[in-house]
Amino acid sequence: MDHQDGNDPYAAAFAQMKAGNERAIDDILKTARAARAEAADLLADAKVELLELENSLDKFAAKCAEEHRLDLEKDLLRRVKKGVAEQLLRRSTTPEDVAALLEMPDEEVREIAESVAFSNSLAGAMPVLIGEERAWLEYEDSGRGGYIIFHWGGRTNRFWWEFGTGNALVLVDIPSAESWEGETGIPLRNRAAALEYIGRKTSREQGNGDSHFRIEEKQIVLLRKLGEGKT
Amino acid sequence: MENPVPDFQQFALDIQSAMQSAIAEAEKLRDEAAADREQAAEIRSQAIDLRHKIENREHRKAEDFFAQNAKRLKDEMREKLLEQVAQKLRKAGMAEDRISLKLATFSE
Repeated sequence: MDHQDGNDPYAAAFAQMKAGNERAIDDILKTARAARAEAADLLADAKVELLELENSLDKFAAKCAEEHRLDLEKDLLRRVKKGVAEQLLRRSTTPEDVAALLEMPDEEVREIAESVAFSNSLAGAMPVLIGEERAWLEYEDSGRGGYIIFHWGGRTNRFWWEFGTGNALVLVDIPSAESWEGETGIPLRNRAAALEYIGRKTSREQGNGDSHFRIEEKQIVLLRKLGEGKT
Repeated sequence: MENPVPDFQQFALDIQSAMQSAIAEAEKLRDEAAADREQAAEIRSQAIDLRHKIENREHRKAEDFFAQNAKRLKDEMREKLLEQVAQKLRKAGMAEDRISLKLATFSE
């Protein structure tokens, strides 16, 4: 049957309907083919990606190792810098100078400085019992030296410290046994415990754990640890 | 001469048949596309797994190396860092003895 006959009054309507149907079919197939092609491309890309990975496993592994090594190094350096920053801050270096010297962000150094100040105040705020009184320490730095402030009950004594030379890190001046009571107001029987406390605490907090100490007649000497069994 | 009455039924059947064929073709294409996408996802998943395995293996190796050499690496880094600090202090005009004193506690 020919629906295209120009003389047929229905022909135009039929032709129009047929063309509309064909357009709809074209649209459906066009969309479906595009989606099909897109999926085929996706699959091809995935195959290529896997193949490339398989062909470059050694290179990829080396890249991973290098990246992770750099991350670990960065982290280690950050920790080393933090340790050095803490010590410089304890040695009265300003946070601004520490940040410049160690090339650290100001904010990070300020946080470390706050932590150092907090640990110092905490150290001072946690007394121990020596004899019948509570004792605690504070530090006062002034460049090449400073004072260790030793609180014993209601008494406060200031012992001068300064950097030593050679293997001696720090020298703390203390009254001799003979002048101890007169100078400190602390009974002589408590002297040994007080000096032991000062030496131990100072060594731990100011010597960065790298020192030990020796009590002499008029000095406490913080000594650098030279290694296992070599002090 | 009068035009014959068109065969509406046949016309409708023609149109319906053409549309059904198109829909069948589109569904076939859709199923093929879905299968390709699924396969692509599996392959990508394989690639991701492979990457992760390699990354983890290499990370463990690097971490083991660091754990075994931590002290040496830390000492080397600290030494280098302190030397840089010393240079800056020198440049700022600080005397050698003061620099030594300032950095003394850091030396092992």
